[in-house]
Amino acid sequence: MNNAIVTEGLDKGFRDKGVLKELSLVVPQGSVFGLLGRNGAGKTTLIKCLLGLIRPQAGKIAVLGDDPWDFLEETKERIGYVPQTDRPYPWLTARQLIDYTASFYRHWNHELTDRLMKEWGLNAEDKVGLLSEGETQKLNIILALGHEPELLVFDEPVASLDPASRRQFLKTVLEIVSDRPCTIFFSTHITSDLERVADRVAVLKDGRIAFAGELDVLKEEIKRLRIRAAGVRLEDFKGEGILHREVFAHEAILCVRGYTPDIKKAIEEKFRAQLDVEDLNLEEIFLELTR
Amino acid sequence: MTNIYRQITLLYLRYKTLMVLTAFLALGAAGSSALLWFGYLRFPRCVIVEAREEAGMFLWIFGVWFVMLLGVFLKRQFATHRAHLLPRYRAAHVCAAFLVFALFLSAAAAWLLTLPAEVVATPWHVLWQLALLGVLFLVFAVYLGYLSVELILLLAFLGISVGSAISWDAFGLLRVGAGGPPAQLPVLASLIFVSAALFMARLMTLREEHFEYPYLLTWPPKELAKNQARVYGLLLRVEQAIDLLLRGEVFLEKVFGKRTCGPRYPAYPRHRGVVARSLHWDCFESRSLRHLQVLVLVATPLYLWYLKANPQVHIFFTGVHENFFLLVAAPILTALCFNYKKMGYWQRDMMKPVRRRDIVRERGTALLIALFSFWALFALYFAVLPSIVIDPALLRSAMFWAHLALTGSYAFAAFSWILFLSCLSVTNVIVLNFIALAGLSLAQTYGAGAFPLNVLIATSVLSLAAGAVFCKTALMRWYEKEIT
Repeated sequence: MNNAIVTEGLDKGFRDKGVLKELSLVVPQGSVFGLLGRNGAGKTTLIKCLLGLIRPQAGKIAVLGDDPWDFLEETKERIGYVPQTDRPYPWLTARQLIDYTASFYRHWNHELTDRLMKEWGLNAEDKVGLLSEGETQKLNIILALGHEPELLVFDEPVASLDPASRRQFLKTVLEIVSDRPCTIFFSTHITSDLERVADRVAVLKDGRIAFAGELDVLKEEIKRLRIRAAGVRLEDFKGEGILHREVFAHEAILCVRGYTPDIKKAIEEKFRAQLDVEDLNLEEIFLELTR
Repeated sequence: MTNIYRQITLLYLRYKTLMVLTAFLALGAAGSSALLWFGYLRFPRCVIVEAREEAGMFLWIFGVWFVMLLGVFLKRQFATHRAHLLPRYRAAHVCAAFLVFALFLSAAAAWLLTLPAEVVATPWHVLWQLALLGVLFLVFAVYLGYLSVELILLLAFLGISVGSAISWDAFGLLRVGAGGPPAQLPVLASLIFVSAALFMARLMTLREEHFEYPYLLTWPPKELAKNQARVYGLLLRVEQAIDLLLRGEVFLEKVFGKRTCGPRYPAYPRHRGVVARSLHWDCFESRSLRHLQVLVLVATPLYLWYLKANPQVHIFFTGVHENFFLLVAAPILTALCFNYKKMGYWQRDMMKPVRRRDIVRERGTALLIALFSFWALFALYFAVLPSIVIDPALLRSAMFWAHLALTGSYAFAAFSWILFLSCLSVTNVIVLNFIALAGLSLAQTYGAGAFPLNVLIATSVLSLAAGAVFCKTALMRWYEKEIT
């Protein structure tokens, strides 16, 4: 499988503060890749580095096989981007803005943009400056989709959308992926959305990748163990794979990474305990990984 | 590809403010051309010679407005991710902007060449001057429009000094290149081409991390406030470093090293007078103005020495007290730039536990104090001090002080008018008002020199009254806007 994005040993800091630290990441072509991280973890900085908007201090980046700092025009034709906030040309109408943006690309699917405008309840004759924040974001998404790019990069695309619009956005993302080969890379705080569409995720913590891989693997790998036994102590549970531990009177709760059935068996034997293994949803996994 | 240029042209055409200015430029050119031809055929030659100034002034005023707006328009195109991510974007936008500029110059050239030779004896000089000022203002709008007040004032002083050195008289900015040494034209031409080429090259590669990128952002206000905080932070560090240097500590390490402490916002002086309270809202700026006062103290002796040592620049200061551009427009522009950045904090200040009406009144007072300070600074620096050095007898003339009083009161009236315009939301009405203001200023510029003393005093009183009415109306409108 070819890779849409490859980074190696990426370093980026602002003044004395290191934001990305030796960050290496691979995003396979055709995947829907979700980037998770707490505020200030470096998500937007990473996206800006990937798009060549800012230059990393060290490391290599290849996006669709090209260097982002010096993208070829052909590569730009293959990329769509939606930033967190953007209000372009307030004096134009939505229709005029679409025509203006379309003029830069050799290929533009007017049928798709017209359909999405209708489905998302946008009036083509409304002035961009008069649109609400959510409507502007919808328009920005449509502008990023019009040239049917091979790589779509969204930076918190749904933060300003209402639940119905978020659903529509996710539906569109799924349609795009099923209709044609396309890689989608997006950062978000809304883990339930990511769970619905992403097949791969990366969790960014303190400028480093805490996890990157398939979502199913992540869910299999991280489990919560509820151990019921008398006399368990906090110091009984040590080790690299333990993300979090809590001990109560007759119960201990462990969150482990790299879970296998052998772990369960070993704990049951050691403490003569009754042990329940619980699955975690993505939000819980995210909280455990970034704790 | 052709489609790109068509769409960019439409982008310009749909930008109403630019179009309204273009229409006025075209109508004004056609109208004035007809009037000048009519005057040429009907009136004696001396009227025609006088008309030369108006021809240059007309182009100058509209040219500067047009080019400033073009600069602001360019800012929007390049301070965005689209500049890097849309294919074929930068080259097309740079070409389009400079094509618009070239069209503007071509229109000016066509207009100048249709006039009788006696009206504009040196059309190419006027054109060179327009091109130079145009490019410089374009660069100014993009690069310097949102710098701190100290830097803007420094650049204004520098610009006026350079202007005086190459123009030879007070209104000489309109006659750059005409009557100077023969080398001036090639130097001006090179300056135009080099500035334009460097500017274009920079726009072609400009990225988010480049020094000037943040200064291109005019919106949202948060970004604007951030930029100002950045400039202020640098000045604060220099100030701290100077304090430390005076105490014998390491200077450079403090300037370029980590900042040790941030600025402290003093408590709101609730029980003090309106002036003290108004200064509270401007405490950062008032503090940073101290740098300027120190600069004036340090620079003034050097400036006086320069005047004494260079008799050829004396002519620049002949009649400078009547110079409306210098003593009215320059302080107003500076005060506007100075106050514009404060809009970034406006919303936050409105949430503070102070009655909104009081905030508006105090902000208005601060605005007027800023205007008076800047006008006084310009008047002192360019009118009073040079007169002390060159012609002390002038200071005993009532006309001198009457002229100065008129520039001050007219600056107040013009500023209040602009303040009033800030309450309006229809772009075309604002542009129309600006044009009326420019016309009135032009009339004052040429008329005030011939006013007798009593007319000067009456005009001053009238300007003060008009200013007070505009100012009060503007403040009341602000108040209503915030309440509803």
